[in-house]
Amino acid sequence: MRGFVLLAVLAVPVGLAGGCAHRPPTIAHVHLGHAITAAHDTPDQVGYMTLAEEQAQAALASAEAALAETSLDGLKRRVAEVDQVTNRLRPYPLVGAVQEAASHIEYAALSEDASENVRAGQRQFAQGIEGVLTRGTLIESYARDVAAATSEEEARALAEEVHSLARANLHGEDVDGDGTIGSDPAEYGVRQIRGDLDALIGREDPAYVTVDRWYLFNLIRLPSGEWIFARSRSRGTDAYQ
Amino acid sequence: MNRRSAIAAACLGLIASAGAVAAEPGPVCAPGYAAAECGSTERCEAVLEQDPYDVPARIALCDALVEQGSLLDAMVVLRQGLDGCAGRSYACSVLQIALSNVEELAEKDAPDLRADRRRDQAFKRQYCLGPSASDESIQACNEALLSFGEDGALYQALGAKYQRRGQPAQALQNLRRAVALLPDSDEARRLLDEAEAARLELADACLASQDLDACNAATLAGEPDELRLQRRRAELLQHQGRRDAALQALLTAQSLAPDDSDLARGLLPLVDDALETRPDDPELAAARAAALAAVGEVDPAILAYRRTLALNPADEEASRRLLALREQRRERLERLCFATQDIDVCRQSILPGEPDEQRILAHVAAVEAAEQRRAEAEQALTEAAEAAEPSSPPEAGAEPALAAAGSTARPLRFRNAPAADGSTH
Repeated sequence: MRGFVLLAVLAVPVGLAGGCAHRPPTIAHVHLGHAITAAHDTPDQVGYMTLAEEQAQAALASAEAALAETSLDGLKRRVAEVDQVTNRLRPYPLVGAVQEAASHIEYAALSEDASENVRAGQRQFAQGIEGVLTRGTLIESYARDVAAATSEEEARALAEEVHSLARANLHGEDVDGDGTIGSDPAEYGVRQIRGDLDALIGREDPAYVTVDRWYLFNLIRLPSGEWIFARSRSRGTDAYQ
Repeated sequence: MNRRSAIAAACLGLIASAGAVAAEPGPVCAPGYAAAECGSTERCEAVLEQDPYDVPARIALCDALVEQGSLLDAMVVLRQGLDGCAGRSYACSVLQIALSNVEELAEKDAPDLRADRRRDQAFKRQYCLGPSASDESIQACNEALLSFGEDGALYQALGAKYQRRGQPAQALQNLRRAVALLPDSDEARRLLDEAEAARLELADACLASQDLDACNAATLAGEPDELRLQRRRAELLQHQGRRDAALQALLTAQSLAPDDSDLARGLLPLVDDALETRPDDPELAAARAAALAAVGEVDPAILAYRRTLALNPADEEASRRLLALREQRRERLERLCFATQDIDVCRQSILPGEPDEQRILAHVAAVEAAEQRRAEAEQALTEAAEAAEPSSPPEAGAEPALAAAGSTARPLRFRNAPAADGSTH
């Protein structure tokens, strides 16, 4: 019986990796996978950037609905929705999702098996999310102002600003007026951030292969700071060599 | 470094602020504290293993780690020390100060914290430039101006916010700065014109009605109508029974027109009331003195300025005005007392403690003597002697006049004057 359990423990990851001929993903790539493919604590276990894009779309939809509202109360409600999706939704609002994505890319960059490409890309990614985070704070402030507004005219002017910010959070914005969105990280929306992440992955050598969900959901950190796959106690690539 | 740590550092003779220390190499953790000379991290760690309560060794280890750039490790070492320092207040204070210094240094070096600051500045700038006119957005503008310095766009945005809030005076202040910084901006000029027109409209409403809000919103320091608006505000405030606020408005008005006697008459009762509860307030004392001077009450004004200077000897304006009033008084005395034989006027002019007191009494004595009123003359001379100061010799003529009246004049004795033996009385 004991031998059977041991065999099963070893067989699961090996089998999921496609047999002994296949190497498991690097720890760095598993962290990247959390940002891109799947994470255990998001709705439907989507990746953090996927969630961020969904939230940015939802926020923009609410912002557009706000502009279509014809009453002060309706306008306030819609702008509150934008704030909710951008800053407050559990488990992750838009800003939380991009921050979480950034954290996992940082974990990737700090992994011993991270490539120089990932390390350099992490710094760029961290800069790229600044615009979304700043706009998130602005949306929070404007939502507060809208909630306190006493006239529809005042609330509408603020809602238009919220709409611009929500739109920029998804599509980015041409802040410097050079005709290009994304020439500066401050102009980035979720789409540009995702574009940078895709480009980072595209530069990986050896190539990044979509990480199997088993690895994505079984990576744990030991008190020592070392990352291992939970059920196998394997230490990433080394354990399979 | 927080205030508490800074105070503690000062008490312990340690240097606070890692930033200052970082600029010049040297101990960072507790500058001024005699750290151990264990030399390397390993040796310091060995010492601490033997005695975890060895604070000099812990500070030396902290410095060694900081020198290596291991700020987080240095903080851990200090926190471990703090965990074990209960009841040893001096050791705790040294470690707490050291931790504060290292944390401050770490904050300056930490990219995350720098990013937070950058994001915060970006937020404040954008929130300021946005359409909100909330208190928070105005605060964001003011903080952004502190971060970004003189920025015409921020001043323009701030001015526009005040304008939308119906505060044209504040709008004007900021829009004038915006126009100065953005001379080609039509928008800044347009907003400025709007704010000027709005302020003038409110000023008219203030002067023509009982609208205190209009007065408050229109009043702006340095504008030609400031004096009129402040006086109007004072009237309306007094009408509402808000005497303190009215007093403040009148004090501002007085600073604009210190010689305005009408203003002074309105101000005096309010100042006197306020002095009953704040008798040692030098600003009130000076205001009272200036008001008395403005209504021509020279002698009370002199006394009031003397009181002002007793409360605030550094008040140069009060000194200057006191001198001017004394000159006025001297001219009046020359005309009404010294050039006449009217001793009643002279006696009524005496202000105890004034430099001219002795001269007046000497003149009175001379007049009494000349009119053969020996006892009165002697009495005046005695008073003059009591009043005299060494620096103000008695008026010539009193003693000869007494002699002429058949009396032997006594030599004048001065308060605090040196005696023959060199002592003083």
